[in-house]
Amino acid sequence: MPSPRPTPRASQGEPQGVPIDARGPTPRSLRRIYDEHHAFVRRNAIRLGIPHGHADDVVQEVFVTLVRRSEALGEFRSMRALLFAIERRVCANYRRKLDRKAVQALPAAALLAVDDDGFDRIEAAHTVARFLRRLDEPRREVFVLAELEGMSAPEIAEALGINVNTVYTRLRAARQRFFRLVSAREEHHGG
Amino acid sequence: MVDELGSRERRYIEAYLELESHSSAAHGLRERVIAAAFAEAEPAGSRRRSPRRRALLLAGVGLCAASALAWWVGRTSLVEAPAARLPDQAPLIMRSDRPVHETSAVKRGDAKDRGAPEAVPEVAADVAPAASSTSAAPERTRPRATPAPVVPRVTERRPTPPRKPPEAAAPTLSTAEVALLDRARRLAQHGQHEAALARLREHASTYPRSVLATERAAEEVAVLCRMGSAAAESARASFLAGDPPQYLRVRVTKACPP
Repeated sequence: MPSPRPTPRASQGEPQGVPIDARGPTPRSLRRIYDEHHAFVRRNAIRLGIPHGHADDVVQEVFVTLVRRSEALGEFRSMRALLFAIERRVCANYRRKLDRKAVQALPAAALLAVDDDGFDRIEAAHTVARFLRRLDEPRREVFVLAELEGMSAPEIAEALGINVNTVYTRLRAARQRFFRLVSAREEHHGG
Repeated sequence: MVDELGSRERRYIEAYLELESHSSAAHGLRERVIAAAFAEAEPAGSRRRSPRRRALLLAGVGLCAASALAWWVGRTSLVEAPAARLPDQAPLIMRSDRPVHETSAVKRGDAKDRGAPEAVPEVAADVAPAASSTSAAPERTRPRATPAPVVPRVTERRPTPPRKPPEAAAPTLSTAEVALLDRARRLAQHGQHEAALARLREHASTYPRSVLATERAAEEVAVLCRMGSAAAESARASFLAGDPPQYLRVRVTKACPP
């Protein structure tokens, strides 16, 4: 099975290894980590089911936990894997407290955008958002990291603390579901 | 079939990523995060104490401080009482004949003038009537001079990191609001311009301060243009004069070429 396909996100350049010493981050190094990775943390919070209005709370909680748990730094080779490992727990706790009625809307800035060939980008984006919401947690995490972040299977395995083969199994299952959903939608819309 | 996503599925993903990229963090979040992280952080290498343990520690420190203060006050009383017999300390003893509230008021001023600690004259003045009985002085002064140890409440909760109110990060959107605008857009796509306009006006009356107001206005201008309405040109000019975002400007210009 081929590795998860790189996306533009992945080409932004991931520093090799966790770039801070084992004593934990200083305010300066935390600023650097924040600048490099806060967008990663924020968008994945939303993908993991946190509404936009609460995403910044999750970002804050993730970086606070990173400082608190500096002993975990040595266990990870990839900062993104470490941040995601923290984030999935933070999100799981946060979701329990959330009002279920909170809107899971995507940002409104690009609303009403349709391509020349009639492909409705907004509907497509909402389809992906709905797919992510309905996918079970283990597969969603793998799908997000592989297809939306372009992370490699070993890196995903490190972030989730699972075997690489499990990553591939979950990814295959998630892709199957996504493929079926897109096919059904295209048939319904006569695409 | 599912070893990799096909181009069709990839297009969906790209649409999602594109839309998602419009989302941005609240301004000033970075410094808030740094402040929260290091306000909460323990010194490097130390273990985090539980709230109960911390409360007990504070109670212990408070008791130690109170004991030290009591010891110091008692010792000062013992020293001051015999010293009160000395001629240069006479004014203090003289003032002790006055009512307590008066002596206390005067002695504070004296203490400051002499550069002495404020607590010392207070106790010395209070014990002055018993100055001849050195053994009784400390016993009389201790209960009064020793403050009750301040024991922090064990049930006190650990302060939480400073957090912005959840709603402050982004204006909230209701699902119904987005759905109404989507419905108007679909109607317009299917050529049902009147119905689309009705939806847009319903949106405007229901959500007059919507964060989607600019999108709504753009859609209205586009619908008017497609209808060939006489009001389209003025609506277009008015919309573009309002300095809308570039993507909406492009959209309106496309729908209503000048």
